[in-house]
Amino acid sequence: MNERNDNLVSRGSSAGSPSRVCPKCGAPVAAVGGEAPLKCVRCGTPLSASLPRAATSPIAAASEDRGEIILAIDRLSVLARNKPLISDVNLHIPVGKVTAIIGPSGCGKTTLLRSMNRMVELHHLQVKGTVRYLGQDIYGAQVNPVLVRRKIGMVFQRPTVFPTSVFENVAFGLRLDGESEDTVEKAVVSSLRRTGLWDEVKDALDRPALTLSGGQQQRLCIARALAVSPRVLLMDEPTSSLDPAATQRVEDLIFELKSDYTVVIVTHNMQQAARVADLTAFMYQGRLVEFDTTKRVFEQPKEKLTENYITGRFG
Amino acid sequence: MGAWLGSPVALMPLLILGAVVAVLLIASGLKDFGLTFWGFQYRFVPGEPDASSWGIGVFLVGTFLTASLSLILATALSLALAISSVVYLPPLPGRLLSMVTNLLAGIPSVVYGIWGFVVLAPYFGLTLEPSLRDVLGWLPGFGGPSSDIGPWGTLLAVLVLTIMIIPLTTALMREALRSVPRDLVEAGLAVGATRWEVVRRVRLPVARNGLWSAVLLGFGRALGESVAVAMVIGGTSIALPPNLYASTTTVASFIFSQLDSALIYPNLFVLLVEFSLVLLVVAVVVNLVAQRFTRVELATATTLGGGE
Repeated sequence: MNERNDNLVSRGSSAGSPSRVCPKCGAPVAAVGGEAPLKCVRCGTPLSASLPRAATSPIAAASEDRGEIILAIDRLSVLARNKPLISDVNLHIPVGKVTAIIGPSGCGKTTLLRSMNRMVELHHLQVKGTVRYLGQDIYGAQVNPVLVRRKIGMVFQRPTVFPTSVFENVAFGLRLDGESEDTVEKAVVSSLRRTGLWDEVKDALDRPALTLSGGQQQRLCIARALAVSPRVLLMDEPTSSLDPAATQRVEDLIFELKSDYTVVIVTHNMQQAARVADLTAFMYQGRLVEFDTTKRVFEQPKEKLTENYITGRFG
Repeated sequence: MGAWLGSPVALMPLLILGAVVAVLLIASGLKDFGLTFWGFQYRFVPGEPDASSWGIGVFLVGTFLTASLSLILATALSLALAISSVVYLPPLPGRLLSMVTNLLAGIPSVVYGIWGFVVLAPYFGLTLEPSLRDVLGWLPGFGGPSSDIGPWGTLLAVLVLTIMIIPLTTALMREALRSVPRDLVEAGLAVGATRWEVVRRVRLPVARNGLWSAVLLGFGRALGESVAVAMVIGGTSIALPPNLYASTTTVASFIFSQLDSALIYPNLFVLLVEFSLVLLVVAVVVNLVAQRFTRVELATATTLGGGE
């Protein structure tokens, strides 16, 4: 499972989704070297960008030229008992960038984040529209949500360590696949190194994870998410329960992770968005108001609503 | 106002416990039987028993045998019920299942007893017992002849007890599973675990203490059940049962069923009182252990910061 396999239908099989063809030149889209291509091999059309629906949305279209799209959200609505929590959201998230979602409490930013790896379904919410991961609709009938969550990992508001050892916490996802002890150990060590936790815990791998500090626990959760080699990491206010020093470390980590992962972070802290994010999406009352580079959102927002929020007139 | 009321009220449970023990001790007048009733002797003497007639050993064997077997069955079934209602069933059927199991807990035990006697016993004798003997006959306890008195015996009591304690253990296990912080469950799912993997690797380990406490409280209930057991266990033979079909008796059901004779025989009366003291001690110990598990559970939930 450590090999890059973006097929979301079944564990193990390495073929890409067989029915896909490039919408421009009609060439079949096959996995190359186990990696689903972001561009058509024949004509070079960016695959997720070429869907007609995306082009109709100004917000989505605005993000097209920012690079390859790893998560394409189109006309997404999430409803609880027919009451919309978010409605008609179009958001194309580019690969290898940190994208922040900001907005006042209850604006639907967490719901939007949780719809990106099908966690919304756990709360019996109804989802309309599409969320495509490298072109595959993650809500497709044949798609296995378990595999979606392997590729699109998640870190929560408060550290969610299991009451086991530090090592076993990171190994959790790998154990599910019955990986060999050797593979598990390598992956655990490399994930811990990646999160900068290795030097702090290398002598305490067998200690209960609950004995770590809050900041260490949160980085442990990030390590656990990274251990199953996802490509996208969703973070739901990952520093809201941490002190400033621990927050700083997590933010540094987010910045470093960007070279290998795409990060989407929900935050109620605008300064945090300004510090870590390349792109920022502003949500208000269930709608996506503005999505642009962080610099432009904060310095010259197009929408009045965004400006009011940024300047602290509400929120 | 509440301050001076507080301490006497808090002491009341302790006072009640003390009073029960004291009254029982006085009633038994320990000197009559002394502690000679410890032992496995079961010489049946017509008329009034004396110190050498019956030892409590046989009754304790019957008690622990029926309670343990029914606990094994009940644990497996309640765990399945609790997991399905908390994890797998959609909210509405899940609540319905909880409601029905809770209703079952409220049925008086004598009703279970008469149901066991009238409905379950004939079915057990005609169908279940022969097939059990065919299939599991090689297991110790499952082979051998039926009892002389009919279907009433250890295994029938085990089945009735199982049905009686399932509502309690299911409710407690459901609570234990439900108290697992939602964050942890979602964290498990977020690394790509299936629902079953989350049950096995997150919910069960986190809820472990609560589950143990459910098992122990179920055990306490099974140990102490008298009426329903007395109605289906046979109870004619005061001997170690040769197999599970044989009739035997438990401490509680013996006390219940012999109370009328005890009014005639003072010795028997003393014996029953002493038996109830033993039962009281066993029940207190089981409950204390169960509470210990519950406390650990609460402590764990607090460190995990469960719920906002």
